[in-house]
Amino acid sequence: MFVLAVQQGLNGLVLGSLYVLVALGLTLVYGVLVQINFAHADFVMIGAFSAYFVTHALHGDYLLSLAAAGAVGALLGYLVNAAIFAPLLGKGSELRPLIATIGVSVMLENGALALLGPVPYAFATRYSAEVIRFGPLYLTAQSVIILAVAATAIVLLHGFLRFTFLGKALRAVAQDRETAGLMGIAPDRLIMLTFIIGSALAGLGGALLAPVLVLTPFAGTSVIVKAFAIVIIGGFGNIEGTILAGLLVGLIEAMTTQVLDPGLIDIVVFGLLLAMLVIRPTGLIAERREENV
Amino acid sequence: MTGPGAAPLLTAEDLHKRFGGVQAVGGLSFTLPPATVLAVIGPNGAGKSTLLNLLSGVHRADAGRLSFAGTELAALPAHRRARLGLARTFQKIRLFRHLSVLENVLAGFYTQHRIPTWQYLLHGPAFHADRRRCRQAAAELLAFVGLLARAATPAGALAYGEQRLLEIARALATQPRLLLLDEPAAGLNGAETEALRVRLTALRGRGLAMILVEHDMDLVTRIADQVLVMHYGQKLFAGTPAAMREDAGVIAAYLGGELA
Amino acid sequence: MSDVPSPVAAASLPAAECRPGWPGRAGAAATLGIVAILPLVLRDSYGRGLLIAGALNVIQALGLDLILGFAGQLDLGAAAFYGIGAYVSTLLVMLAGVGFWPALALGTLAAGVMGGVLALLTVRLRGHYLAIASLGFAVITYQVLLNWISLTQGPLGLYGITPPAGFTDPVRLFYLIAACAVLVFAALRALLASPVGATLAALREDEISAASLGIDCRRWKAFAFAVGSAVAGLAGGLYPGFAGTLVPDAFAPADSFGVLAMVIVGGIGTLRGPVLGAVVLTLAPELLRGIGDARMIVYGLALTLVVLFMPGGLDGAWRMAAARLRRNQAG
Ligand SMILES: Nc1ncnc2c1ncn2[C@@H]1O[C@H](COP(=O)(O)OP(=O)(O)OP(=O)(O)O)[C@@H](O)[C@H]1O
Ligand SMILES: [Mg+2]
Repeated sequence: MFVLAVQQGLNGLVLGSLYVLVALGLTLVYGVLVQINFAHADFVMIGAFSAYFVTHALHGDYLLSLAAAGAVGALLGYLVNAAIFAPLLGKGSELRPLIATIGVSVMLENGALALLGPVPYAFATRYSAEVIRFGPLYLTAQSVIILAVAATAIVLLHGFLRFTFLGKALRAVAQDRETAGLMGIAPDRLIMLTFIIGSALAGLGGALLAPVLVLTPFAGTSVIVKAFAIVIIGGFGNIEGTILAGLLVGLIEAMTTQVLDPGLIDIVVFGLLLAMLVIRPTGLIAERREENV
Repeated sequence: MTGPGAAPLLTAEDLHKRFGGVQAVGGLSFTLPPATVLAVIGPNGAGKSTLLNLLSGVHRADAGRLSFAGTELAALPAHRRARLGLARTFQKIRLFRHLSVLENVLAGFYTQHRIPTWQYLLHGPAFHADRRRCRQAAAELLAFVGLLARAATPAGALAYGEQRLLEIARALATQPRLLLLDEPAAGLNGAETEALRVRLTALRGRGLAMILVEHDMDLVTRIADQVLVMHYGQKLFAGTPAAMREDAGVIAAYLGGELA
Repeated sequence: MSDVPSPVAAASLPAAECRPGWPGRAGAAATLGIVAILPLVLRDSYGRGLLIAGALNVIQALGLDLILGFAGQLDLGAAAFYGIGAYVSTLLVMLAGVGFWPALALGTLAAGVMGGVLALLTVRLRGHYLAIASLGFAVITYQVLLNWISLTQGPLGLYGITPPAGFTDPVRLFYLIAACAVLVFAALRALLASPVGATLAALREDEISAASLGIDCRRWKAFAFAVGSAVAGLAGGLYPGFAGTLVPDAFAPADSFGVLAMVIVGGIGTLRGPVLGAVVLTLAPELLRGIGDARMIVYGLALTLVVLFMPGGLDGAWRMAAARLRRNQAG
């Protein structure tokens, strides 16, 4: 019983670190832009399909396909920012970019549906079958890769934000756009950079998720819906909070799968989200900030 | 006008407000007699806007008591305080920018509509009478601030000085008993400031109590009955404008350079 | 005080906000005439089905626009309230033996109450948070419909639902739903021309200012959410009799985006806009049927392009064109 719980905890950690990757992209963008890219979900889906085609059609290595998926994500992020967020920046509406990216998302999903069909793609890597045992516990090699890549990405990101000049500038923009201008870096460049990093994380997350996902054109939606919940639970724009919330949601999901119907997971996660919004609207970590009037 | 014995309109006792590490208001007490204009002055960051925010309910005080015309304010949200007769303008102008000048003022009549509920769906005589009454009153307010000719203009398209005046008209539409003004002359040129002064003097003549946060000392001395000088969230001085000019503490901390 | 202007008459103000213009009396009459004739022109069952779908979309788009356009609250959960109206009214008829009309009223009420409660729960949230909370509510509702099998039959759905007595003929059913759409339009128009319109506009523009005028923003957000969601619920209650079956997939969270597209494409924050948007986006995909199931791609594309290049939507474009025409005639 205890072993089972620990095993589920381990699985939850793997799942959670995937959610963290996807959610971090959203949170990064929100931090600098105070905007949501709704098509982020589809970057995840397209990342997953990129990995699929690199490994299955081009017979490339799975690890190589991860890089490809990240690159595809970065490209998509570049395009969406250039086409939508940059032109609408400073037009003073929080609704317009969000709605425009909902349009992009609907297009990407249904475009993918027209091209790829609704039947799920089976994606197995040679790492999925390889089981590594630690006493009574086990992990697939795929899970180990997920943990390793996610941890590396998170550590690199953290180091980048904390220790490089660009990273510090980025955090400065997130705090307040004018200060960043004083640092001599054009905010729009930083926003683009953030978009590219965040979207690359989405693509990468998609590629890592691909083998465990029901891989259809709508695959991103189920993930992103949780990523949204995570971002809010963690406090929008708050990176540590997002990591914590992502792992938490992964754990909760792994635990509830054990006792509940998988169909009920969304209800649990969103019930948690709504409860959170009512009790602590600023998220797990963030402190209350009062509007300066 | 009012003797010192009259019950105060507003009483603040030991107000505190902290933002993170900043004690914006720290232990402030004062009273405002009816039909009095109180000017609040002090250097940038002294806590003047925070004081108005505490009075109008934009922020909740961490500690302290507030009573307005015999009602305890501390627990009331901003909209309830407005209903009691507290109206305000904002240092950073907050008009409804996309609505017309007229619509901005009409929104201020929110608490004064007298329409039976069903007439919101089936407009009857009471509905039309209410509309006529509010539009008439709005026209008078717009004429008072000199914006009647701009009634159809979007508020965001007005000149800066006009926006300040429109904010006052919108606040007056709520029929306040106390008007809180946060730096109404900031950013105005000489002529605009004079136009503002004329309006404020007229309001004062009608016996409207006001709390006026202002840096323009000329405006303050010409309008205020009382002055409260704030410094680091605390009261440095309270008294008449004339007494303030003589006060050594005020001169040292704040006025020295300006009045020299 | 001679320097202060003396009181003036309100006569010098611009006309009151109940503007004439389209669909002024003539336009309204013409529109009603076309609506009345349409089912007689489109005689095949496919065309009539399209008409009914269009009328249901008009109602839904009007409800969402009240929340989104007039009150400025970003609601991404429209599909949930449509579904609540549909399931509550149908289950009342099927399981509790309630008559169609009271069931319709109760379904509408249930959707309205849920909308109001959601708004009260999320009332401290602005913009994006509310968007995600309402989307989350749509996800939960959808999952409940799928998983509460003892009540909803889950994905298998409910079958053999009939339209209300007297409206089994598709032409009459269309007239019924179209009449509901007209009523909703008229009611919202009257409501928004009253001080409620100004109050919601104030809430939408700036909550802190609105509160300083005595407006209880919590209450009015809940009001807008409740009324808009009730309108969605009304459409939901009218839908199952037309479809004959009721499955959760008809209320998938992504369906909210279809309604959203109608509001945006037609013109957000106007009453004519959502009507235009619903009609156009119900019909447009039919014109493109040659290229497969392109419906949703068209919606997505239209949504993005309109937001980027035509923020006023079709209604805004119409208005600008009309203004230009008037200027040209004058000059
Ligand atoms: N919402 C807020 N969040 C955080 N800090 C705040 C907030 N409002 C005010 N402060 C801080 O409280 C202090 C007092 O600010 P306040 O705006 O009341 O000053 P003020 O006297 O109005 O100054 P000014 O003359 O520049 O308008 C300042 O240090 C300010 O930075
Ligand atoms: Mg100030």
